[in-house]
Amino acid sequence: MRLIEFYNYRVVLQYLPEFAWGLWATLWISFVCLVGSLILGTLVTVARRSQKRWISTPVAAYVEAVRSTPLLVQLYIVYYGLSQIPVLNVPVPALACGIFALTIHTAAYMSEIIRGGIEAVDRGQFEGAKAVGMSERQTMIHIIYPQAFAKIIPSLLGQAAVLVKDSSILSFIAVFELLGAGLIILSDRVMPTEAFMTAAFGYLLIYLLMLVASNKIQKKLSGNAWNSR
Amino acid sequence: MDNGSAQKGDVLVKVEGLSKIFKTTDGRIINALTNVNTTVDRGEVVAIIGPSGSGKSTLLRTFNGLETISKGHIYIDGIDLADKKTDMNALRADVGMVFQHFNLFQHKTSLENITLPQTLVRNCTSAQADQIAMDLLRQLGLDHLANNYPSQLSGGQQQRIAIARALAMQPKLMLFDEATSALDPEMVGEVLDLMKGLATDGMTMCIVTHEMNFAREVCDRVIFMDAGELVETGQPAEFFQNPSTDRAKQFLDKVL
Repeated sequence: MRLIEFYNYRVVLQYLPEFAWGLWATLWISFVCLVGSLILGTLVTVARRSQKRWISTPVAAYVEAVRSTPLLVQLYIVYYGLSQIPVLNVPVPALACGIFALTIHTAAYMSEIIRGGIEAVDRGQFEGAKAVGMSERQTMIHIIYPQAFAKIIPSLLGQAAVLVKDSSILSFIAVFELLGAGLIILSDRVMPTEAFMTAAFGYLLIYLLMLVASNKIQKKLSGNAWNSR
Repeated sequence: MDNGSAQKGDVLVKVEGLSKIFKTTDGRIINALTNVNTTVDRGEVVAIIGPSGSGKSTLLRTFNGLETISKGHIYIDGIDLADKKTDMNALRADVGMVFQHFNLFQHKTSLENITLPQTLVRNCTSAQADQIAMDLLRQLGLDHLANNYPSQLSGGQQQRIAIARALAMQPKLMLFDEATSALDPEMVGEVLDLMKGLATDGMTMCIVTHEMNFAREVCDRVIFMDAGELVETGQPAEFFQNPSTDRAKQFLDKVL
């Protein structure tokens, strides 16, 4: 069997502009969601640590709800739900719904990772800061978070890789991205192998790029004298 | 550091009927401290000794509010720590604490460890804080370690930087919680020498320690704790020669 019978690269080459466009869409959507989920995840962590139950309890419920339900269901709730709300009578674009759903989904996981990072910081660091008169807030900002984030960078990057893969689910609400480019070949030519192998190759490419970036970041961090133990 | 009313010999720390009750996770109640009464004068150096679990560290940690007070009062320079309205962060800035495991900020250099609390808590400019920190490091002979991270320092060096960090806040009172217990034997001396220097300079110090020789030679007074109670207090010469309680006698028989 020749390669071209299994995987018709000539057809794929014809659709290269669609795939390039899809790759770009996946990249920027993932990046926006990554930044959003890191910010939201940090805020969620701060809120969950609050002494005030009326703040920490609903936030904990949000994290558990997100972690215990499928992403696709969450996406549908956001996509179909937002259009039901009378205030937003104009239909919310699918892309905005997708980014919103993916961000709140990922933020729940990010906040768990960040919480783990805080717990991994030695208790003595809290006491050392407290004993010199730093407030709770100063302690968290200047002492605890910098150390916690340094510890969890590999886990955060891992979650970012999951986010890139999860973004393919936006195809379900007709947002165009990498998988969407594959779906175009499928509907035009009925060539599932070409459609999905090429999309898969695109995700692999992004993953490899992230791996290189991750290694660079880690190398740089371990070059930091304080983190070299 | 001294204001007009502060004179050597004044009462700086006053402990009145202090009790501390812990509740463990499985619901048991532990009396960590029971009706402790004592005072520490300005300029006085007090050793707090006793068997492990006797409450000596707990007592020390109530002096800067790292442990809350269940009953009774502690006054530091007239400020009531049991009063809910007391600004504990402001108080802690005035009470230096040195820990068994140093608790230096791992992601900051020695210099930054000393300057950060000053800029955050004392609102110093970074130039002022640098000046104070470098002067102090030079005085303690540690200036060559200014740009090292804690992980690059020996235990003895880390502990001396931790002492410098506390001193930079110009505290009224210094607390030492088993400051040499985690050190390799050859590093104990350098830390004790530094503490001895502070005592000579007139710093008010409360020292939880297992170093009986240090307590005997450097301290003005010894407090002996057992099972959460202050059992006996006296001058070191008197206490070590001739303890008046059986519990102190038994303890000293074991450790001396």
